[in-house]
Amino acid sequence: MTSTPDAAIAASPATPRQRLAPADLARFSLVLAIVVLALSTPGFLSRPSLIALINAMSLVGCVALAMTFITLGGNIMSFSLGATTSVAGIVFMATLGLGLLPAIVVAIVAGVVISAAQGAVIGWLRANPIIVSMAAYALLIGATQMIVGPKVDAPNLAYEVLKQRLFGVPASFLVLAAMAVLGQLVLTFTRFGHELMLVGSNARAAEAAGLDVGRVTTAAYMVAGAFSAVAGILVASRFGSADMQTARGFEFTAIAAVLVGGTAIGGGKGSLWQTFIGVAVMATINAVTLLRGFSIEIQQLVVGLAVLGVIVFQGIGRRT
Amino acid sequence: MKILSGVIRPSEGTIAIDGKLVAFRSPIEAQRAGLALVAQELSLAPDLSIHDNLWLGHASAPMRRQTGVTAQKARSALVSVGLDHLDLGTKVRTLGIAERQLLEIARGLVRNASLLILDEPTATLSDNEISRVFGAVRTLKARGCSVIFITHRMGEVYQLCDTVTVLRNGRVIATEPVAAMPRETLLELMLGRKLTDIYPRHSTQPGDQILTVRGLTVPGVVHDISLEAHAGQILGVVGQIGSGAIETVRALAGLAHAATGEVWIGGVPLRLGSAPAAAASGVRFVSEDRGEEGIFLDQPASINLLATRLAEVASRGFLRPASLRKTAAALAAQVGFDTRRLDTPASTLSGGNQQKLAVGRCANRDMAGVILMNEPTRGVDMGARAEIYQMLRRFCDEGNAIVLASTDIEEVIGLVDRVVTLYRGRIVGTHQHPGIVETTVLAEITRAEAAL
Repeated sequence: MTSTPDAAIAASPATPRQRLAPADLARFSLVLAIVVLALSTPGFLSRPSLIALINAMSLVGCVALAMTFITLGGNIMSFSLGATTSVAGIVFMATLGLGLLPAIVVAIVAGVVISAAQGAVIGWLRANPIIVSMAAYALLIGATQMIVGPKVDAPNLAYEVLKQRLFGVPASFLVLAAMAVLGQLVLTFTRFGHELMLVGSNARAAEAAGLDVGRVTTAAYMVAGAFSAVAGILVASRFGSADMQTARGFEFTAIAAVLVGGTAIGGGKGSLWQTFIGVAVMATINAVTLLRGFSIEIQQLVVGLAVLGVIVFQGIGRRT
Repeated sequence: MKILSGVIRPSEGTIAIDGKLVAFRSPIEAQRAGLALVAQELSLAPDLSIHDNLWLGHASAPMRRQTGVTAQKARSALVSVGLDHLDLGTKVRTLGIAERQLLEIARGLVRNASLLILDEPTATLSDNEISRVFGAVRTLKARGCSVIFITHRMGEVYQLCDTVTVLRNGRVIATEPVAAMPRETLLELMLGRKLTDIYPRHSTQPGDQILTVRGLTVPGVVHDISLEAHAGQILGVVGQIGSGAIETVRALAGLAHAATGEVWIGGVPLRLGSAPAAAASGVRFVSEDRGEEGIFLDQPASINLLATRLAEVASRGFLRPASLRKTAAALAAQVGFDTRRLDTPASTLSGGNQQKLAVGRCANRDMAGVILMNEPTRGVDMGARAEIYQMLRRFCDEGNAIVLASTDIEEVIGLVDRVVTLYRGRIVGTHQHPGIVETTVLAEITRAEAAL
């Protein structure tokens, strides 16, 4: 108590090294096992295989980053992010006649609005986030099919630029990486980022301290909506058309990636880096099982086991 | 206590019961040896009946419901703690907090405990509820049961205990018969230093009236409360559990959505029912429920201190790390928090240190305002308590007004400059230091006819 503020600043980086928690250990061994498995799989390191890997990563990856904002804010997960992705893709294709940039902007705005409405209901009315997202999912599926029908084709080829490669790397992956960096900067260096962590770590304490929980929650959902919309634009560009089917189930892979990355399901702990690693792990599992000739059932089994393992070890870590 | 009851295993040392060495690997083994812990946080299941709660977690609870035997045992346990008027089928949700505390003790009896450990059983109770717990403890003692009674309240030691052991910083300081231990000596042993006075001086000169409350009402809890608080003064709002004292303070903090009435902060009307609105007009709140509502356990101490002032260390929404560190360190120094521990997660800190973080959030604001506190020293050790009292006085000297609700009458008398007593949601009396008399205050908050 006698130390001065300056001494504290100087001494602070030297926090004692903590022992590896069981959950971290489990996650570390999972990553290691997958790396070993991947490297020992013939053909994994070939160029087409790697391109396929990062292509697979980038689409679901954007949704996983979006999901991370929801999970960190204490709202567990959203069932409607896949549908939001699809809707944004449809909006993108439907407005592409106006030009590439306007279409991108309109699609992102659509994603933000859809998601913000859910965030507002959850944040200010304290509605259960899971229920709200399920209702939103049903509404989005129903409304979109009533309004636009089953499928929207691209009016022109302006989207082709999003399928190009820069130094051999697909543009969609660069978008994913840029969003991860940008998102993490927001979390680490902005007031919003810290308030989101506080709300996620203890919403009641945040309210008692006078933080505007409703506003922070809505903002988190807006970010999630924007990130999902980017995923939608990338998905639509890849297929040259958009419907409500292509991004179906993205939210499940996304939440799996978030959890495997080690973000706490209860909120307040985690980062976009971790989610990025989680996405890579999931994509690698898929690629390896595919290359080794396992069926899609085995793939899903492995993914399920991986998520379960991490959750179990997280639970053990909390009890000791 | 956690070691005794088998929750944590000791790294060294031994425990003997009736002269036999024991080593508990789990709470259930401790239970079999006749030990029962009644923890500070009650562990009852609100949606189960009294009967089921009494048998919950019993080491030899029958697999099949044998209501005949179990009900008989449950009933006799209820009689011992003075809860015989309750029906075994009653849901625990409908019980008051004192009754729940007694029920926890009864649970120990159902388990045939020969040694009961009570961890601050009276911290959340009002005075006549406390006397019921005391009655139950005396009945147990008469039946040959040993009781370890953990408390921060000195008076309880003299009212109830035969032997006293003083622990400080994880060490046994002294073990003496209560009769051979004068009050002052006990206090000094607890504090670890000469007792001057743990309470700071009182304020003599009230400043401007900062807070004005007219007709504050929270349906069913608080009725038509009107009061004022002045800069530089501590106003105490006292009453038993259910008197509306705690709820009055919560309503002022914007945490009661159904609250109505008129409130002005420094002459500006305050919108009730919104915590962000209250915070924006200069109200700061320290909750009575530290773990659930006061502290962000996952977050480091520095972020806990800065939770409400991130705007001050940010420009255009971007945090300035240097300014963040500097402000956190300055605040920590001001509230006597070890600045080398700013990066430690709050979950690893003691109750006293956590409370310093919660109180530290109120310190050193540009704008003088109203600091609201419920139970400012609940579960806080004597040393940290004295520091917190000094801190509060300093906040007053900086031009803030403090309104605090507390069920610890000794603390209220020692600390506040003016006190408002509440009974069943209505104001009974107002007293000014030095005219605050303990017996008068006690009579007002307990006597029914005064309010009716």
